[in-house]
Amino acid sequence: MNARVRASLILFGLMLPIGGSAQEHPAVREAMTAFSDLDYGRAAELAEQALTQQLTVEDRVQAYEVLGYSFGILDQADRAVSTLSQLIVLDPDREPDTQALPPRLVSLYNQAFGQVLVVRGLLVDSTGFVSGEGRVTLHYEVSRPSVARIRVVGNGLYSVIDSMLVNPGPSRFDWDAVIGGQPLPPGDYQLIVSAAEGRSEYQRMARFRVSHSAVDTLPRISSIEGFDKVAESEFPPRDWRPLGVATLLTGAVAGAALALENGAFEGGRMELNVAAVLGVGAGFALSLRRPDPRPIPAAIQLNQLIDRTIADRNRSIAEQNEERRRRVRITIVQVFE
Amino acid sequence: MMNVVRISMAAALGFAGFAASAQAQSTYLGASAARSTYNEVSAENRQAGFGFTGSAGYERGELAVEGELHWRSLSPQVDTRRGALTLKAGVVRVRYEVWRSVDFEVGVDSRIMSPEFSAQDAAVVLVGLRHESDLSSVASFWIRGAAVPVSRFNGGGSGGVGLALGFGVRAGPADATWRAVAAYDFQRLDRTVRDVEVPIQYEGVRIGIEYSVF
Repeated sequence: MNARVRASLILFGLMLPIGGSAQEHPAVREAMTAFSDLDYGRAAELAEQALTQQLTVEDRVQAYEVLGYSFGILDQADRAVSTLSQLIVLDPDREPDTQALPPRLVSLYNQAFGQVLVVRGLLVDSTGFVSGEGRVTLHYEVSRPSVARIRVVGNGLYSVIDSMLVNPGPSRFDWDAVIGGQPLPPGDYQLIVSAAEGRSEYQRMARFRVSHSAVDTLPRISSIEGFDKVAESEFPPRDWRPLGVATLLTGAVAGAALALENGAFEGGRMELNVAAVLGVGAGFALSLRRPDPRPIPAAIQLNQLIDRTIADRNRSIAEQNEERRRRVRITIVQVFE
Repeated sequence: MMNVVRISMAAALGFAGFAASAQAQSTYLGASAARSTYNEVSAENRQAGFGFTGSAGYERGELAVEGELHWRSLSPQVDTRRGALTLKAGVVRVRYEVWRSVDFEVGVDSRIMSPEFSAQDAAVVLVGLRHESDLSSVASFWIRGAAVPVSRFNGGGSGGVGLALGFGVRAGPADATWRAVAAYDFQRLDRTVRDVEVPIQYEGVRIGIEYSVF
């Protein structure tokens, strides 16, 4: 072991992401203890022995990790890469703790990651959207250039939603959650991402749940912001025309009656006086009365324009609501087991 | 002459039936309290008093018909030795708008005085013009002037060409079925009997209400 690696391990050894648990196989636990005691030769030996036994996947992963890092520390790079490759195939989402591990081991891990074909980091973004108007984003990462095929399985459906050549590194795919022109029915589904390179193939699966709800409809409008209706009539100023007309007409007839009456019957003007007072009085009263409101054509036209615009918009909203009622709001949530 | 009276009365009374059977029309009925002065021959014979007037009207487009029935109880104003009179009259007018609220109007006015021969019964034909002007949306004012080319009297004689004038105002709440009405009528008949002037002059004022039937 070179001196620098040893010095690093003395510093970082206690912080290695290799911890024991009650469920661990005794052989695996012994190997991890040896690794924690910085006895890497024995740790490698015990891990190799443990791997010959019947282990759970988690124990096997722990054993490969102890073995791979031990080989790395013991300057057996080829064996370390080979062992870490098997670890990555078993648990692709397990990543080295770059804060705790010496850079050399992280480098060996990355070297091993580039030698095997795996898919990791498969995530379905939880989201909700109106069918046809939104998309759900799927995340994944392949370790090598390969053809990735994305399938959705479940609830009586099997559909390939995408297939493309991808390079190593994080990838994303935005999916409209529509299959055969119809929104994905509610239920539980599996999202399967397969990566194929030559004869090698690797696939990962994530579960997600789809639920449907009614789409919110748009409310009708009764006004247009910034365009308030205005009064369609106004009260004109006081008008003395009624008094003028009544006085003029009364005077004309009364004058004519006085002028044309028979001279033999002069005197006695009660009827004419009463009628004249009533006629002029009516005109005076009507002049004092508050004038009738008169229409404002421009205001009427503006209000009619606003009404027509509101009606047009409500018609458009009604059409949109009709369309929205035919759609559904899809909610997609990834299910972790 | 009594035939003329009967014809005018029948026309006024038959008006309601005619109006009721018409379509797309405006019809009213009215009642008024009235005061009238009646002069005959000289001012010493002046009679004046109160009474009532019933009226009805019908309008359709430019055409309008109106009828009035008058009843007055008159008493002497100067020579109180003369007896009181009762005046009954019927008026029917038909008018047609010829130009901007100016109507051509013809009518018949038949008047009966009782006791008989205490004053002249008269039946006249009226031909003239009428104008009605809106004072506001709730009131209108009308004036009328007519010549009296034909007149008949139960005491005989001729009337020459007489004169009739009038004006009135009609007002009521907007969109209401009733309205108040005030009207003044003046009539001068220059009757002569065997070249002796025996003129007649009548004037009256009435105040009442009108009710729009439909």
